[in-house]
Amino acid sequence: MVPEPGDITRLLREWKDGQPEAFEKLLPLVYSDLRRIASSYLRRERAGHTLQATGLVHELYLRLCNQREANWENRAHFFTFTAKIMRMILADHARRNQREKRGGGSEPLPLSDQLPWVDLNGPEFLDLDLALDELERIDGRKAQMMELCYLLGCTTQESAEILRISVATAERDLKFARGWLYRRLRPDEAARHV
Amino acid sequence: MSDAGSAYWQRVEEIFHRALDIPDDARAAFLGEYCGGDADLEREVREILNGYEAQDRLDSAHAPESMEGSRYGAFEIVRKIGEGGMGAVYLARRHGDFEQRAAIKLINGTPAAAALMAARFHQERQILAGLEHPNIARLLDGGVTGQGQPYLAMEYVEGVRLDQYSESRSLSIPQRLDLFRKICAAVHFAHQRLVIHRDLKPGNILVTDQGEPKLLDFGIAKVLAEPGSAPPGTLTMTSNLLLTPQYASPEQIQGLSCTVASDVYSLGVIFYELLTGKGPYSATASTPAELIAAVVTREAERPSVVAPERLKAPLRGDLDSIAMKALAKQPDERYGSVDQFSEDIRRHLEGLPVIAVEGTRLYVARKFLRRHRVGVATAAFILLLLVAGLAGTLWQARVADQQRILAEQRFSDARKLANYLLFPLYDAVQALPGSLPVRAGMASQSLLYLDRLAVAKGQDRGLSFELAEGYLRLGEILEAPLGGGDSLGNASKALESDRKALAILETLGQVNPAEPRVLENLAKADFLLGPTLNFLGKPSEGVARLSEAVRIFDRLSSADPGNVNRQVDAGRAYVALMDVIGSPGGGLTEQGTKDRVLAAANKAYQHFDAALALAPTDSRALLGLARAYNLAGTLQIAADPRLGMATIRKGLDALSKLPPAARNAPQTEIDEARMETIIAFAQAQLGQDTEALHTLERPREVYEKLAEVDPKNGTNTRRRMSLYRTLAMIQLNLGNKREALGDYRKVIELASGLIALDPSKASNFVISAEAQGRAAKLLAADGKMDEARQYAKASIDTLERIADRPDAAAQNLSEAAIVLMVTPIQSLRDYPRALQYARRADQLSGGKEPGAVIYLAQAYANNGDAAKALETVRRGLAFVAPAAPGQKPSEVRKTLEDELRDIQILIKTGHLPPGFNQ
Repeated sequence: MVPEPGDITRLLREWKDGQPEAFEKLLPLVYSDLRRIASSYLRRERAGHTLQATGLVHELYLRLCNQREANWENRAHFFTFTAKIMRMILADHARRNQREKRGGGSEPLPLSDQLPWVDLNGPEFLDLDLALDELERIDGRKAQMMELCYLLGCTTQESAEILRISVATAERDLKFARGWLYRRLRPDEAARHV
Repeated sequence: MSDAGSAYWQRVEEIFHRALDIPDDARAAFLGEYCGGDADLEREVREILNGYEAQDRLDSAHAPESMEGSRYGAFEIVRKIGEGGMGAVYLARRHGDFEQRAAIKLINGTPAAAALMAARFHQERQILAGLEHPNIARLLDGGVTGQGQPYLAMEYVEGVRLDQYSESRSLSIPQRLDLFRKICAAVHFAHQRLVIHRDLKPGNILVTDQGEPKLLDFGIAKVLAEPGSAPPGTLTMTSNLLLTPQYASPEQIQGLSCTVASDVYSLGVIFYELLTGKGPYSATASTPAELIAAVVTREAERPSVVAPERLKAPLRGDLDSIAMKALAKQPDERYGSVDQFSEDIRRHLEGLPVIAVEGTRLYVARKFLRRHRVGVATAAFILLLLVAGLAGTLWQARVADQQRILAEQRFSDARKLANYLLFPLYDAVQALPGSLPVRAGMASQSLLYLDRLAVAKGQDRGLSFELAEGYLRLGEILEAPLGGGDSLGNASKALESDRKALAILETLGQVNPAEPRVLENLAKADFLLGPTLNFLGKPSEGVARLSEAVRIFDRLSSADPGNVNRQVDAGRAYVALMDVIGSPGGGLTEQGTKDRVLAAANKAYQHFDAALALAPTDSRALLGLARAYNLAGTLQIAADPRLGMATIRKGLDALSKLPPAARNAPQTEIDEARMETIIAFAQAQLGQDTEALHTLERPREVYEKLAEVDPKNGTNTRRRMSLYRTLAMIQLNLGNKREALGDYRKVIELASGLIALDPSKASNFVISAEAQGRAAKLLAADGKMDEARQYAKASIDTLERIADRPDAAAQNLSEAAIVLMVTPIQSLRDYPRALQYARRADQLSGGKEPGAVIYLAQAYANNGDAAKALETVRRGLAFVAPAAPGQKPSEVRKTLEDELRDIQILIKTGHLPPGFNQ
C-alpha cells in the first residue's frame, strides 16, 4: 500500500491532537520506510555482532509506542525524530559493548557506507554522538542531514526532501559536515594531512 | 564555538566549498588569500578540508565488497535480485556452466544459528533436494561459506508474483481457481513427502509467462527455525511472521505445532485474496498488532462480504464456504489435506455439492472464539514478545517433544526466559506509569511459559522450586491482596498460579516435610492463596489456607525468636488472616468473627513489636503494624467509632516512624490516605461531618494524582470510588445536595471503570446501582425528572442484571425487588416483576430469611394480593420469636409486626381488597 504523503501528515496531526489510534494507523504507512532503514543495516551485517536490523526497527517501534508526548509537525519531523531514536539505540548499543568489552577481536562494524571509519562496535560512536550534539547546537540542519543519511540510511535526495532543501544544498551540507566531523573525531589526523 | 547564524561559521563553510573546487596544489595559496591573514580561520578550514579528503581515501579502502563473482558452493554471483525477509537474494550461475542459473539467498544470523542451520540443512537436504515437481522451485544446494555466511541456493525462477499475475491479466474466477489448484497440487505433492512449507504467501509463489506457478522456499522455514538454541533476536521464522502475519496460521503465531493444516490455512488466505483482492481481516485490522490479534481471535469476514460489487454474487455460497473452512481457527476443522481443499474447488467448478457447506454450520455452532476485541495493548504485547525474540525460543518448543526440551541448553534458556519475564523485565516495566495493560499481558504469557516448563520439569528439584517461586511471584503480581502494590485485578489467574505453586510445593513437601525452604514456601503459598481465594468468594478455603500459613510461621518464629524475618513473616501472616476473616466476602462481621479478627490483630502486634525490638526501624514491621491497626480499627468503627479512630491513628503513628526512604515512598502516601479515609468515615459516624470533609482532602489529592499518572490502575480506582461514596454520604449529612450528587456521579463513573476491568465482581455493580439510585432520588427531589429517570433506570437495570445471574444470592434478588417497588420514578416501578424477584429471594433463602419475607409481603401487597401478603407475614412471625415477657421485641420481630399491621390497615381502608388475587 503506497502511502500518500498527505496521509502521513494527517495521521501525525491526529496523533498530536491526542488520538492514539492514529499512531497505530501511522505505523504501517511508515513501516516500509522503517524496513528500509533496517535493510540498510542488513546489507552490512556480518556474522558475530549482535545488532540485528529487524530488531532495530522493532526497538524503534517500541520506543515510539512509549512516546506519549510526541509533538511533531509533519512527516519531516517524524523522520528526524526517528533518527534521534536510532541514535539513542546505537549509543545504547555502543555503551553496552564498551561495558561488556566484547572479547577482543570483535569485528568492526562500520556505521554506514559513507562513514565506514566509525566503528559501531567501538567507542568511537559515542564520540560521534557527542559530536552530533555539538553540531546540533551550531548548525541544526547539518546535524539532521547526518542523522538522516548516516543513521537512517536515507539517500541525499530523500534527506533533502525531508528537510525541504535543495539536493545541491543537501550535498554541500553533507560534505562540509563530514569534514567537520572527521576533524572533530580525529583532530590529529586532520591537522597532519596537507 | 560559533553557531550557524554566526558570520564566522558561514565564512568557514563558504571558504570550504570554494576550496573544494580548487586543485590540491593551489589550495594552500587560495586559503592564504581568502582567509585574509586570519590564521585560526585558515587552520579550521584547512583541517576540515583534510578531514573531508581523508574520508575519501578511507572510503575506497572500506568499499563494500562487490558481490559480483563471489563463490557460494558451486555457484558464482552475477547480480543482486532483491531483498528478502532474511537477507539479500542474488542471481548466480553454476561455475563453469553458464546455463544453469540459481538464486542464492544469504541468510543473516549469528554463528550459532549458522552452524545449526548447516546441520539442519544437512538433515533435510535429501528430502528437500528430492522434491522434484514442475511447480516447485528446487533447492539445489546450501551451506556455510568459509567466512561463516550461511546461504541457500535454489532453482532460479523467472516469473511474476501470484497476485500481480492475476491482476495484470485480469483473470476470471475460474481461471484463478485453476491456477490455485495447480498450486495445491504442488503443495500436496510436498506434503506427501513429509515436507511442510510453513511460509506460504503470494511472495513465495511466482507465475511464469506460460502460466505455471512455481513455489519458492519450500521447507526452508524448517531448516531455519531451530527452537531454543539461537539467542533471542536472531532472524528466524519468527521475524518473518512478524513481517507477514497475514498468512500465518493461528497456531503458528502462537508458536504451537505446525502441521499440514497450517499450510492449508495459509493457502486459504491466498485463496481468499486471490478471489477478493483483500485480506480476510482487512476490514477490521489495519496495523500489524491488530492483525496478529485478529488472526488468533477473530473470525474472518466471508469473502463475498468484502469483495467488490461485481464479484459478490459468484463468490456467495460455495466459494465462501470453502474459504471459511480453510480459514478455521482450529486446525482440525479445516480441510484435512490440501488435496481435499483442491477437490472441493473442483466439485464447485463441476457444479457438484461442496463438503465445506456442512462443515460451516458446525463451525459456527462451536463458537469457541472469544467475542470481544483483543485490546491493542495485548496485541502490542504479543508483538513485544515476538520482537524480543522470546517467542523464537520457548514458543517454538514442542511441548510434546520432551526429550529436546530437557536438553540442557534450550531448557535453561526457557528457564531464564520465564525468570526474565517475571522479575527484571516486569520490574522494569512496572516502573513505567500506565503500564498496567502491558503488565497484564506479560503476566498471562508468563503463566503460559511456566505451564510449559511445568510439563517438562520431570524430577528436577531445582526447577521445581523455581517453578513454584515463579508461580508464586506471578500470583503476587496478578493480585496483591494486602493493598501493597498495585494489583492487576485478575484474581482468577492469580488463583490458578498460586494453586500450581502449592501443588508443586506439596509434592516437594511430601518428600521432605521439614525442609525449611519447603516450609517457608508452603507457608508463603498459603499466605498468598488465602486472600486470593477469599477475593474469589471462597472464604472458608481462604481462611483454612491462612490458618495453615500462620501455624507454620508461628512455629518458625518460636523456633528462632531472635530472627527478625521470622517475626515479620508471622506478623504478616496474621494480618493476612485478619483481612480474610474480616472482609465482607470472608465471613460475617458478627461478634464471634470480630473477636477472632481482633485476636489475630493482637498476635500480629506482638510479632511486629518483637521484630521492632530487634530492629527498631524495620520498615516491614512498621508497615505491617500499620496495616494491622488499620484492619482492626476499621472493624471497630462499626460499633465504636472513637475506638476505631484511635486504633487507626496508632497505625498512622507507626507509619510516621518509617525511615525516610520508605516514608516518602508513594505506597506509604497511599497507605496513609487509606487510613485517613477510614478516620473520616468514623468522624462522619460521630456526626463530625465538617471534620470528616477536612480529613478527606489529603487522600483525595493523593488518589487523584495517582489516577492522572496511572489511569488504568484498578486498585486506585476502587479507593477513589470508596472515597467518593464516603464524601457523598457526608455531604448528604451536611445537607449539601448538589455536592452529594456530584460525588455520586463520580462513584458511578468509577464503578463502571471497575466493572469493565472485572465484570465478574458483583459488588461493583451493587455499588454502582446504589449510587445511581441515590442520584436518581436527589435529581427527582430537584425536579430534574429526565436525568433522574436515566439514573433510576440504570440502577434498576444493574440490579436486575445481577439478580438475573444464575449464581445470584438472595440478597441480590431482594435488592432488585425493592428497587422496582420504591424507585422515585413512578413509571419505572414494576410490581409484578418485583414480586417475581421477591419470591425467588424467599425460595433461595429457604423461606426462613426475615428480610426476604418482609419484602415478599410488601411485594404481594403492592400487587394487590392481600391474602398472600398476610399469609407471608404470618409465616415470618411464626419463626421469629416473640418478645419475652417484660422484654422489647427484637428488631426483626418488630419489623414483621409493623408490616402485619400496615397490611391490615391497608385492607381496612380499602386500599387492598381482601381476598382479591391477582
